[in-house]
Amino acid sequence: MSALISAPPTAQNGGHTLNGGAKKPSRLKGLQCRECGQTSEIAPKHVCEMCFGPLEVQYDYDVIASVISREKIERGPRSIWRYQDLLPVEGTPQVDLGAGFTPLIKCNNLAKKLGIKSLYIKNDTANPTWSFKDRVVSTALSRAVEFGFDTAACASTGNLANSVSAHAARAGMKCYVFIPSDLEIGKIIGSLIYKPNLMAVKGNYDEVNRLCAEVADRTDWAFVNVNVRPFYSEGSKTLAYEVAEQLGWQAPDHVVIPIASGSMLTKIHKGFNELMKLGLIEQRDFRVSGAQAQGCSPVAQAFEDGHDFVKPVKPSTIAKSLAIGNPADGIYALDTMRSTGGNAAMVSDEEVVEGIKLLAETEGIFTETAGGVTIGVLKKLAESGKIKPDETTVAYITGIGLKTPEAIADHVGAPLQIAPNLASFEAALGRKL
Amino acid sequence: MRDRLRLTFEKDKVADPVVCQMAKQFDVTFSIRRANVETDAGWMDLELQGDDAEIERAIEWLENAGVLVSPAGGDVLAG
Repeated sequence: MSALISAPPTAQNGGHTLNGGAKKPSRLKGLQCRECGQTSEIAPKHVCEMCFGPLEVQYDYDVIASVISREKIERGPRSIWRYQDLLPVEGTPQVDLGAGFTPLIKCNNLAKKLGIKSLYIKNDTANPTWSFKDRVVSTALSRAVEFGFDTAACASTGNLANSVSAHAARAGMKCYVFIPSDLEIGKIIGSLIYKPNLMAVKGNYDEVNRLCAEVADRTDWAFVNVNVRPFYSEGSKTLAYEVAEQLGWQAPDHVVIPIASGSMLTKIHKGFNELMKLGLIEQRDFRVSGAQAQGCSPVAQAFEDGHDFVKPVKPSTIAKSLAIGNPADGIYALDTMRSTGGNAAMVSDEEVVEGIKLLAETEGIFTETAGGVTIGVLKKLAESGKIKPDETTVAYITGIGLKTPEAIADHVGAPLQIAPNLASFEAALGRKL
Repeated sequence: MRDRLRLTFEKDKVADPVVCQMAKQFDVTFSIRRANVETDAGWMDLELQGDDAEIERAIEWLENAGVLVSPAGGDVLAG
């Protein structure tokens, strides 16, 4: 196993001894079905055998409360692992590229444009493979190693493929990654460089889904978003923990989050609530709003229509990292937005491009299409008064624009071509120096 | 082989006995685990058991009958 780049947890900073020494009471109680409530032991499985509902990790918050504190967290590594007491990995994290603790940036320029007083961007482009997926993959594969898996796998439209490939390389795991064959070249190279077994599936998203569900069913691999999904998804909670810590240990008033499967949105909500439950931040209401692209908006459409179920759609949008037509956690994202008084909105592909440009031109952050969706929806919600001007708002930017330059290549103009002399430069400048 | 599927029904298919017809036409068995069927739409999570090829044919028949068939538990493909 490769060496860690972050400080390994200890008994003082959150580790739970697996080898030697007195055994501590476990923070992890088991898995529980979100639908029927049936419980089972911690194991690599993601759906309830009885009702096919999703399984969630259950924690013993009394045990966690007895070991966690703000000070202990602040002494931890500057990565997701400073919050290990709240993550489903029991020993020293074995698969770590240093994901997390990304910048929370106060965005006065963008706030002014949108008429919001206090706006922050959580810039998760600053992760090891430039997307938030590093959080969930580091969590999933660290747990997978504890289960004894030696092979990592996933099916992805890009960011997850990059992250699984990189983390598997770091951990010395075998790696199988499935992608749709029409993926952007930046995301293909961003996986291939780590030398996974990369399968480009010639088929539509439904066919890719069906194939990968069958493969996941018939292999003994750690399919990060299938059989180890309950552990994988918990990694997204760190997006809440970090924001709370970076805001001086408090929750914001309003968060705006892109929706693909819906898992990240529900886990950010869970993360803030866990900190409140443990007394690490003050108990308060906060609102959760979700962002989707019009070409794949099953959750936002259900919100708008007032439905209490999410109807699958066939994706057709430039925001491929959000192009999940049958979102596993869509119904829970819908519940979260409604129960917190949040909103859901969708934007066209043109508005996605405008959103990417707006964030870059006002705040110097180059996001991918998913970020364009978030900024487009942020703008829409602000303009319609659904974000109140005095709300402290955090928008999550989850991936970098350099992986998908095709999306904006025709919308950013071209450089001025000049000869290598001062006269040519002055001509282009339109004045003498 | 067994396959865990979500069937989604549009308004015009809600009242059609498609699952029953499928089981009569193909050598597969089904077990309904969860469902929510309303007047304007519905869904059903079920487990299909049978030979690979027969399950494939049953799924194709369902799709041709206007039912949206997807993996139970949502898409495996992620961003």
